[in-house]
Amino acid sequence: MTPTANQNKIIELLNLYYDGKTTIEQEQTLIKYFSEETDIPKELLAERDLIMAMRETVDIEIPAKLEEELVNHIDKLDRKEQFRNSSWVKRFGIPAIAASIVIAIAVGAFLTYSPIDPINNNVVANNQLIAANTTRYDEVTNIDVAYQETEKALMLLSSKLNKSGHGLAVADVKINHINHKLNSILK
Amino acid sequence: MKTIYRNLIIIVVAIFATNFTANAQSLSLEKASNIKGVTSVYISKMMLSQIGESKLVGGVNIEDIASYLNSVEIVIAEDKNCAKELRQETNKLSKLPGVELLTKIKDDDENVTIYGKMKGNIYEAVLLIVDDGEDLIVILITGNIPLDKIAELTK
Repeated sequence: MTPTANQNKIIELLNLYYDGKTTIEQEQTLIKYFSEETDIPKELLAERDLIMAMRETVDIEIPAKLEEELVNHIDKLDRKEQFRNSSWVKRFGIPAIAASIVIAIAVGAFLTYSPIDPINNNVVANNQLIAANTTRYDEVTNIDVAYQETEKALMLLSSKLNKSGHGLAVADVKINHINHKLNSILK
Repeated sequence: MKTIYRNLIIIVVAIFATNFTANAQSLSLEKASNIKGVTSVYISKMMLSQIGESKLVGGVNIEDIASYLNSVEIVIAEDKNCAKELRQETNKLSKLPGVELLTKIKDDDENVTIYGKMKGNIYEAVLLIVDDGEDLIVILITGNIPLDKIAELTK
């Protein structure tokens, strides 16, 4: 079967298309032909499928912020590269910097929590040591001293509470407790 | 380089913030006991649990109340300068969350202030401050002390 003039034109456009030399108008002509023409020669059916498949992939929507995201991503990669190439990292390496931070934390913790040497003025019992590992330098380690000091503390508290009048302290305690509850409700 | 500085600053700030928070939230006289010139005593829960003999002293059952205590701290300043410093430290403690003024007593030349920290009907801490202008006695009792046990001290 002899190709028609129109078919010859399409074949010519297809050749240009495969060479990458078609204009947008020419590509649209091809698409229009293959989507509307019902009498397509057998030898062009494969071309039709290809052109129609290409047409489907033409309309890809590009996200509005794609450029911005790409620039940000490139900047991020650039910053990572700069970090790797920075003089500190090059000189000491990441493990060394990490180790330095750990040492700094350890020293900080030691300075914050290490016990201070006992001061002579502080009352620290020495006999009948029952607690080998004390956490505070002024910790009492003698049962008798612990009893005496607890007794003193409680008796002082007791006497001062009594000074405020029998029952008055209790009333005060209760009133404060009620106030505390009322405040928490009102909040 | 900026990233390193930023990360280092974040780490340092985090460490200091953690320490500050830990220190700020603890109701303890440990810091006050480090003031130069003060006399301090710390009785731990373990020591308090060793008080076995039941004795009534001035109508107060020491062993009974001791069983509700976690710690007893006493700090005494007998010098104007260290009393001033101790007063400042104690003032900080009295402003901690949950700490409330229970009573204020004027006893001769002494100003007595008692603060408490409550959780329901339980006292988690009682802070007693006896201040005569020169000497200062601060006692901090912590534990889980029922309200009636505090009331017993007034009998």
